[in-house]
Amino acid sequence: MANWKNNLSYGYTWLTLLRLKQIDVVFNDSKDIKMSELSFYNPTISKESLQAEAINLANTIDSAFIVGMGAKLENNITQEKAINSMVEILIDETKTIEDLANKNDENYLFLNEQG
Amino acid sequence: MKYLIIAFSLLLSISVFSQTNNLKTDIDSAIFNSGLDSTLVNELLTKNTQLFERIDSLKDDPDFYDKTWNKLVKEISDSDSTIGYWLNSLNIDFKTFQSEDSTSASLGLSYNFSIERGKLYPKEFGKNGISCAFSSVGNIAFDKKVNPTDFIDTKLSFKLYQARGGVQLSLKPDTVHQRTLKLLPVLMSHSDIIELKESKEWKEFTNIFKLDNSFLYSLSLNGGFESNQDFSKYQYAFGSTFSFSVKSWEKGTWLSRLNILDYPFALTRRLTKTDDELSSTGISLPIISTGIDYVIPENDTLREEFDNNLNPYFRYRLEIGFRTLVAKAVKQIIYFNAAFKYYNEIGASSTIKEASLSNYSYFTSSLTSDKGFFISYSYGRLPFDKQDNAVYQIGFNYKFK
Repeated sequence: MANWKNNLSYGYTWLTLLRLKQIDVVFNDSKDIKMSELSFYNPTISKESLQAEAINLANTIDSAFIVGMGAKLENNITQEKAINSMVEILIDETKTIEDLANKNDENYLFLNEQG
Repeated sequence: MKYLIIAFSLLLSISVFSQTNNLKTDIDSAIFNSGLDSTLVNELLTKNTQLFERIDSLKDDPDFYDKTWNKLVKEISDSDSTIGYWLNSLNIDFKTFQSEDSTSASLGLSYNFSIERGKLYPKEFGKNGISCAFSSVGNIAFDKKVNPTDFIDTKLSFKLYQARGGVQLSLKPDTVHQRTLKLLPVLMSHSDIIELKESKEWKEFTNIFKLDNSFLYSLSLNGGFESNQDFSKYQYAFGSTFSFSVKSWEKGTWLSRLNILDYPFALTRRLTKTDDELSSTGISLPIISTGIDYVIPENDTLREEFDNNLNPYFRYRLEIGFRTLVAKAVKQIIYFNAAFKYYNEIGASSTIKEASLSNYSYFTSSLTSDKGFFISYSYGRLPFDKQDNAVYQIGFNYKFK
């Protein structure tokens, strides 16, 4: 597992969630925040509705990474896989921002990682 | 095999705990008739009572079962990722159900199982997707008389969706990418969120990195099975659902001003100085799902009293969900969560209407804190419920990893 402070995916994932007002904490306090604490995660709605909210958020994060931050998809990773992986984590209340960032690290190649 | 061990170990513990009264009496008798010295007998009886008092305190504690379940799932997921995938698709949350008059309570659980497979097609301004899913969701109280939401919904669905929106850059993409890369370490180094939001780097980032409103439309066809927890009542339902979710990320947009549900909370945020101005937010715009089902009642004794033939009927369905920030106060972030569900039989006969079997509504809301404290209130009834129920819950969710 990468060092939380020295991994671009962690930084970009935190920055995007902060920009999308899903969290309101500094980077060093963000690692263990659970998905159930993000602004979108309404525990009272049906699973289908929660999933629709998660797809909407994952689509925006994907656009932020690719269009706004210049990230590319890793080899053999499709946009569908990258977004679905995010959705799976977003709807799991026990997963943390670190889990989301690790998954994004597997699927996206951020600017300084592109060689 | 391990999967079976998990399920059975938990059910066994519940079963054993429910038998503790008889077990305590048996052990007391054995000690009493053991022929040991009376001082030793009294000491053993005291120890036995203390032991069973400890067991009694655990047997109605949902948190105990939650911790046990999550620990078992984590250990098995760590050792076998395939079984872990299936187990992680199943969310179980143990809880205490309480009746409206607070005279009875029962341990129970909410479960949610969902498997979905799909394809995504990126387009110029968003993505289109298709997916197929199997899901089952419900509440099970170990004493079914105390289950206020005795409704289990199991279905297969096929979904089409479109997601629109994203990022709007105020400079050339390459310039924004390089500037963001330069700003990132500076923003990451802040130790105070207020200082970060007031820094020139944050202002520059939010200025060059604007966000469009995001929309998601989805249309699904679904067929499924609805029942109460012991399957004494069940019906089939086939229909379609349209869901709409929109988020407006930037401040002061026309969509955020339209979010009238957020107005009271804009006030609480301003009064607690969480926000520096009185404004509603577009990130908490409600999600709306609506649909029509063709319902085939199969086994429903209550309905059968008023409709001997259990005739099929059409049903309208609506769900609205809303979550917003209430305040950041006393080092806690507090959210308000709510959902309203409504079912209405289209063209119901006067007999069915008079028997109050033509429409059902259910409202649930909660205040949750990031530190784990929560208060919730639910009112209404879902299909198969005879009467409206009000349920209050107050509690604390522990964070453990």
